[in-house]
Amino acid sequence: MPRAEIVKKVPINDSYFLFRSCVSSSKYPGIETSTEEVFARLGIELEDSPEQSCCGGFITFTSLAEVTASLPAVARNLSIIEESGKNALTVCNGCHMFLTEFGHFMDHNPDITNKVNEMLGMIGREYKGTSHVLHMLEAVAGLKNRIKELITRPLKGLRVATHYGCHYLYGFKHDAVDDPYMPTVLEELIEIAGAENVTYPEARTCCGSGLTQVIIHKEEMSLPFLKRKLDSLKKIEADVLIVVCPYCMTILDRGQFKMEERGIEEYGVPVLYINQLLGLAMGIDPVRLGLEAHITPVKRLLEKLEVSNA
Amino acid sequence: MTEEYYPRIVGLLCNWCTYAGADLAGTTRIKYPQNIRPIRIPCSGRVSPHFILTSLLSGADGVFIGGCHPADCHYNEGNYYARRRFSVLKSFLDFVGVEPERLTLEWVSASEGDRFAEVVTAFTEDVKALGRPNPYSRKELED
Amino acid sequence: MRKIGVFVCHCGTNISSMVDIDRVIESATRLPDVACAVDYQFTCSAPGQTQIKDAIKEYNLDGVVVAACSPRMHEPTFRKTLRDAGLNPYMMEMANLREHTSWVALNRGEATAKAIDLVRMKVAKVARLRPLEEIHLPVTRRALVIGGGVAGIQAALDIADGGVDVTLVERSPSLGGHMAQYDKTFPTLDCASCILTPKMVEVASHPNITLLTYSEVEEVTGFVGAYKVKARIRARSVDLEKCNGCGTCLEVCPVRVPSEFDASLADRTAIYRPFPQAVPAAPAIDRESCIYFKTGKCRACEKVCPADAIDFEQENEIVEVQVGAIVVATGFHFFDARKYTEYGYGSYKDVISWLQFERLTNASGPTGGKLRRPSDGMEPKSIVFIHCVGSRDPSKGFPYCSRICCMATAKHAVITRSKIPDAKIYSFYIDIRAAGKGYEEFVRRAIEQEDVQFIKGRPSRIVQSDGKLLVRSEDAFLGRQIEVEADMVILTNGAAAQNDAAELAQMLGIGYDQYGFFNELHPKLRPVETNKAGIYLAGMCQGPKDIPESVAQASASASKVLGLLSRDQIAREPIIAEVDPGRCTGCMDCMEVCFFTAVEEDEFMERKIAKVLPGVCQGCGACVAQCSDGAMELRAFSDEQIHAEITALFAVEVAR
Ligand SMILES: Cc1cc2nc3c(=O)[nH]c(=O)nc-3n(C[C@H](O)[C@H](O)[C@H](O)COP(=O)(O)OP(=O)(O)OC[C@H]3O[C@@H](n4cnc5c(N)ncnc54)[C@H](O)[C@@H]3O)c2cc1C
Ligand code: SF4
Ligand code: SF4
Repeated sequence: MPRAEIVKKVPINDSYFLFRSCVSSSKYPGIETSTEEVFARLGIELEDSPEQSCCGGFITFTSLAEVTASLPAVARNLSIIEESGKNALTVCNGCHMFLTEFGHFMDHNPDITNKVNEMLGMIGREYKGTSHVLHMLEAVAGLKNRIKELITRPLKGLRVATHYGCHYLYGFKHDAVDDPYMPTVLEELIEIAGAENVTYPEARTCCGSGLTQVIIHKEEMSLPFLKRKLDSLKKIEADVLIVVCPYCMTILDRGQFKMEERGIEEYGVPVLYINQLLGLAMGIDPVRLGLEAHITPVKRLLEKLEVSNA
Repeated sequence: MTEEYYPRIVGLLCNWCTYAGADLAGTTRIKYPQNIRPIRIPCSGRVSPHFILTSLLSGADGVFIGGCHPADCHYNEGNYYARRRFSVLKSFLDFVGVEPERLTLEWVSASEGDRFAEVVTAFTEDVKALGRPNPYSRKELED
Repeated sequence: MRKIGVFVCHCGTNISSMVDIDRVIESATRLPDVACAVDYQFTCSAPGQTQIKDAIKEYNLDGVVVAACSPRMHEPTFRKTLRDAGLNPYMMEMANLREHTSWVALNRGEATAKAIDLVRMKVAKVARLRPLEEIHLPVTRRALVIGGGVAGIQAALDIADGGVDVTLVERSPSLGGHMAQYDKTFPTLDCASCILTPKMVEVASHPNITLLTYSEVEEVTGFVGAYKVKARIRARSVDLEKCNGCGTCLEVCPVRVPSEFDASLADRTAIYRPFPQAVPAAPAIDRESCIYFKTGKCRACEKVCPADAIDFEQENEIVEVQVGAIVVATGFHFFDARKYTEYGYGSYKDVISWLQFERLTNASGPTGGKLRRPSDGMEPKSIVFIHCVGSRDPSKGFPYCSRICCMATAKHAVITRSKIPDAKIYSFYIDIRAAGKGYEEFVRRAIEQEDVQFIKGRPSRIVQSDGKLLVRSEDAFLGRQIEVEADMVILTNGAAAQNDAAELAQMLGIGYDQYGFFNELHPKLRPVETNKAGIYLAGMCQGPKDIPESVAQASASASKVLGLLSRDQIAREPIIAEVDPGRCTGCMDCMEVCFFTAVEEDEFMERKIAKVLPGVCQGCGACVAQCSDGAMELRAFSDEQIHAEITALFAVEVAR
């Protein structure tokens, strides 16, 4: 599918509902602040709601209960989005997958939706199925032409690698804006930011976290996958790795620290969210982009940028 | 009326799918209520709206039309005609006061004996649940 | 008044155990048109039929109701009984007391009540039946075969050998289809072209076959026994009569474009012959890539042709043929493996399709049969086959099994072993489906003697790293993630219908499924017929199958064609639509709804009316329900007859 056609499908609005993510809010606030900064420059309003909760994915990701146990939480969040009357943006692959996939599931299973709505009725809510949830990556891809105009400090000479994350690649794909298994929207945005795109063999593979399910935590199963990925990344000498999900960021950013700490391997490739990268290219203050919260140091990256922009 | 209400249902079944599905229900000995009287027709596209009206006027409490699943019609498109004609007639009958529960159009393939029994049972239950014979039969109208 | 006989069958105890036969007889006897009502243990048996025949004579019956099993079972039997007794066979109806009654009823009371009703309804219908005569249609003794793959070739030869003229229309410049691209065939590993080429030559030289290559069927009208076909012969730019097939022109043509026949692994010229053994041997000019047709200069081929056969002015030609029957053998197409982006087909050079593999191992292929990988020409030492790429995968819209791939992959693995004895060969599969004579044994040979590692698992991704292809998969038996290093990966992309299959089906008026494969009339009992009389199917166009099955189907179709065309006239069931010229207002609504274009305009007393073509009408009755003037009737299912059935049901109150 030619890319132009793909991006056309993304609805471009003056304002969106920003669906916050637990992981980003608690570990990487920069994901949300960079989003706010970038969107403010785009002249697009972001509304959020203190009512919003965890998307509901936690229950499933941790294998705590049956998959359907997530439904009431998903439906409640979707009803909040519906109330805003806006299209929603998620910053996280997991939130995106959960909201869209379970939304789709409920839309096709009226019996279950009725049951869920009975529960929601107890708190005076109802899921109608009228919302549209977009992944942040897809929204910025749709806005690429406007972003291009805002690039004031092109990231010349910066070697940038990507990681989409399994829940983006293999997740809910019936309305994906790009080839679900081999997307390229992120690469295009990196070029728009003026940086050089570098690929590594393991670019589209798993970080290994899928095997740990957080709670069960079988590190000995997951770490080899992380190592394989980071080894492959290290070889191409990338300056930075771009992700589109706070959970991926957690694993890849903190994972490097873990590897070093255990004396396995040193990597030192900072991990940034796409909006943080775009923010840098728009000349936004790194502090506003929340880069200080990252575990793998970003110092060298910023220095390199200083030099190239001097 | 004192006797128990025993609905009588006219079944118009296309030869290639639903009639054959009904045969299969028999071959596999699936039981279902016997209120239906099947009439074999070549294709659900053969169903003239008159058949439904005649049935209702003559005293049918329900009319069941069975055709091939969409895209499976033996004659390629007969079931689409059936569907169009049926929905027009049904909304008209609804308008004049015939309970919509008295009419149904179902897709049953030749391999769906179980489904035939299922939809006929459900339809018979629906017609029964109306609790009274079709008030628009000539007999009732004259009484 | 009619004299109708009612014959109630016990079917052993199948009916009588649930239905009170005596009460059915008693109630039938009281019906106005009934002359006699009797029962019997097995009405379909010889004595049962004799009972009917005797009664027809004794009571001088003019109509019969057989209350027994489903008419889908025994209608033909009892029609024949009537005919034997000198009665018109269409004066009979069956009341279904078994499948629709005794076998499905919960209690005897209900079953008996229903049986009584059904018999009364059928009596009412039979009272309104009219004798019908079978329709006889003249036959044109010529057949059309569309598609010149192995199936079309076989069908054409069988029909032609049976003494009937055949026109074979093949779209590409040569006969042969996919089989011509293969080196060897499973499970015997005999050489594909050695068995196919002689057949191709035979087609070209057969006195009863007219071969139209580089041609397509444009229009088909008419009906069984009398189809009118328009075919377009595309301008080949080479005179078939003059060309002697020397191939000199191919040497001088400066153009290079990817060869379709070599699955883009090699180039061909603009004037080209798909493969050396092509039939006909005369090349064709692909006008889209020819320099002369693009710029007006070149004509290099013309200068060297010793036979003066090149003809740049040649134009498309339309030919019309009348045929009595048609065999459709248009074959298949491949699932586009690029849809599996996770396997990198199209971006990793050494991930190839299995058709490309066929060409890479073919002695007349781009590498002369040496197995070399496309990127650098290196001999691959580790080779991975992945089954079911685009088969059994609902997420890609292809949930069906392509059937040939397991076997073809085993074949490829065995061929690989013979070419590179020390190679590591892996085959990732979901299930091995090797049902066929000698097939399982062949797969076992691959596993046990040729040391091919079959791994149960569907690879999730192929990663290219340091010049190696890393195939990641689960091993479902070990329950573990595995990774295989490969020099080359072959994707067995599934079989799909031809891109234009739906259009062809619509042109012919035959059914097709959601994937574009043509529908047979009955999946078990009429596997090569279509819903359109006189049109038959052969080969992959009907669904995935291997060569033996394609050929068997082709021969089956041919025998159907020969059977049909052996008669001067064809008899058809007379259950078709009929126009009452007096009532028809000529609105032609019937023509609009007829899928089979069986309705034509006609004239009656100087006004336009509709006319049904008896050979084309399939008897669905869509037009009858559409006609708002009551001018269209369907024989044996007329409005009057169906209304009679309905009203008869409510004619009497029946005690339950
Ligand atoms: C890689 C691979 C390997 C295989 N190996 C084996 C094997 O070893 N043994 C085995 O038994 N089977 C094998 N098969 C299966 C085998 O290829 C098929 O069973 C066989 O080719 C089917 O023949 P066909 O004539 O139906 O179709 P095709 O071979 O596809 O021929 C169809 C012909 O019709 C023509 N055509 C199409 N549309 C039109 C049109 N509208 N008008 C005119 N002409 C038209 C095409 O140009 C073509 O010439 C293999 C299949 C594959 C994919
Ligand atoms: S034949 Fe085998 S490889 Fe091919 S689709 Fe069927 S199961 Fe898969
Ligand atoms: S009965 Fe069916 S096929 Fe025949 S003319 Fe009418 S619509 Fe056409």
